[in-house]
Amino acid sequence: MSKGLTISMARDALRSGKTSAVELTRDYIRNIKKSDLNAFVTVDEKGALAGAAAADQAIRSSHAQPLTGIPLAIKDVVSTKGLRTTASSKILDGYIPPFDATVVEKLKEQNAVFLGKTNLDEFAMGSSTENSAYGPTLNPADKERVPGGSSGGSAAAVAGDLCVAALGSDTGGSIRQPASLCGIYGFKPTYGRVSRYGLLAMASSLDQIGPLTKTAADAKILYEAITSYDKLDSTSLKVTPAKARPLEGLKVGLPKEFFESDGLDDGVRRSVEKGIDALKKMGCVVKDISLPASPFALAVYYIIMPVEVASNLSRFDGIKYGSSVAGQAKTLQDVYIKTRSKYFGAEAKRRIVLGTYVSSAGYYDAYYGQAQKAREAIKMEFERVFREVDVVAGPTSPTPAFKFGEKVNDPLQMYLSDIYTVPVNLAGIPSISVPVEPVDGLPVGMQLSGRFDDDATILDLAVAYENYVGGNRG
Amino acid sequence: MAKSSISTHEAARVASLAKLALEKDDLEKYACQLDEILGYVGKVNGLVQDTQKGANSKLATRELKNIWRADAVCPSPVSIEDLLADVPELEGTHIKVPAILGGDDE
Repeated sequence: MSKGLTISMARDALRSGKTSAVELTRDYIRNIKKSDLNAFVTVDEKGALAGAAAADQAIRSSHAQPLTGIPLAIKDVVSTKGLRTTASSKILDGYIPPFDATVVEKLKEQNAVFLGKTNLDEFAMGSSTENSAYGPTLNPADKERVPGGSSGGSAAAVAGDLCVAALGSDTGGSIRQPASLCGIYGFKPTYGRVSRYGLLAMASSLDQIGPLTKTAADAKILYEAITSYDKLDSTSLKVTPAKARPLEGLKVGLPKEFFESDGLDDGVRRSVEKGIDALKKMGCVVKDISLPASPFALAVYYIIMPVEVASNLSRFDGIKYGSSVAGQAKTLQDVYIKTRSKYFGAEAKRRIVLGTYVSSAGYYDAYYGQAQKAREAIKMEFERVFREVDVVAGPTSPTPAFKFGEKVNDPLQMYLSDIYTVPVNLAGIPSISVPVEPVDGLPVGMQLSGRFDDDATILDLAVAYENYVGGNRG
Repeated sequence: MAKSSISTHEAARVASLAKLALEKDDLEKYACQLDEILGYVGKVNGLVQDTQKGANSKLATRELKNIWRADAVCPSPVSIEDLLADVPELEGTHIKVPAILGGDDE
């Protein structure tokens, strides 16, 4: 039953009585137990079955909503009340959040079922899940390869039929890149359209929660369930979302910088070009454009993000919650230093040190100040381009899934995995990765990005593309 | 890896600002990696200069607006008991911490 099951299919099966939420949940729990993908950090069998029983009750009493009874997985960086939330870090190994993230609350209101919490690179820092304190997640398409990251657990769980759909978070590509590497859909909404309340912050000016799904239609259903204004998130958007534009004659821009970059794999280029041909056949008008600032985006990101990381992760000090050496330390300073040194992993430490360095007196203006100005230049460039076109298309990631160990000892090489996704976060615009033709059996994604607040158009275009090419190729 | 222009001493000082104590081997590795990353991110200056030249004006960051709310007392959605449940060391309803200064006088 669970194989290839989408939200729409599961919903029909539940409402027609072909299956029950409890039965479906048991199926997935069985799949998870049998799986060797290491996609989950925590499986909540008891909670999931209780949620499923409540969902069945709601369906029986005709109170079903779009996600009632749908077994979902949640990236373990989103707070779940009473359910361990680790951010895949030893520093939060036993942390039980006393509240739900707003997105979780919204899904609970619909009686969605939560199977458990998925693996990620520690605090969402990485592109392969190799930085998880709980071991790497394997790519269902090839178990010798990474699933991407940081939402690699969510992507592998969706692609490997360990859940119907999942939530991830995207700071520099952490939803779209793993979606691309696992052959599924991954959508990063406009900054401010989904509440960040309860998301363990990595870089607050960039983080956004979004769906990872088997179909574009599912991405739309899940996004619509979690988007809202939230007074608990000070950057939440209050204005009514823009309406979708008509797709006929939609102008799609192809930035030459994305297709001419040195690191782009030839097979990926060809697959994405085929995807673009499909957009043309669908009636989109394709146009060459230029985003000359985009090759600088990754450099800008690796200044701004670590500064925010260093600040956000300073709260993990062994005093209020999380792992701690308290009781074994003589001074307060000792508690801070020993707790953080013992429990943070290598990448978290590297980014904390980098962020502290570039924001320290004497370097602030040269790095952080300049990066803020450069971020503005990148935003302005997207605004200019979106006066000419409605969508920017290109590859999601320069290569298909790479092998374990290939990049983990060379941080800069790893960072380059996000070269096409990062500009989008700096500009705050919506963007989806859709699967295109695989290369040597390995999934490839095409990235479609839109104007700020044009989420509806991007999702509609992805749905139309999916219908045109005949559904998910994964 | 080439010798880093960031000394291990400097890396250790920055780490201590961030309340981290790193082992000597890690310090050497991090100093080299940071050097490489900083060399890469240094290219942002080129973008800022090019954009300013093209636009014939200085780039400024967009004016940021503070978001305020009333400083009003409102009930917490989380109970004190729930909040304290995750605290590593408690004394009654107080969070217990060791001495701020010294340590031998405890």
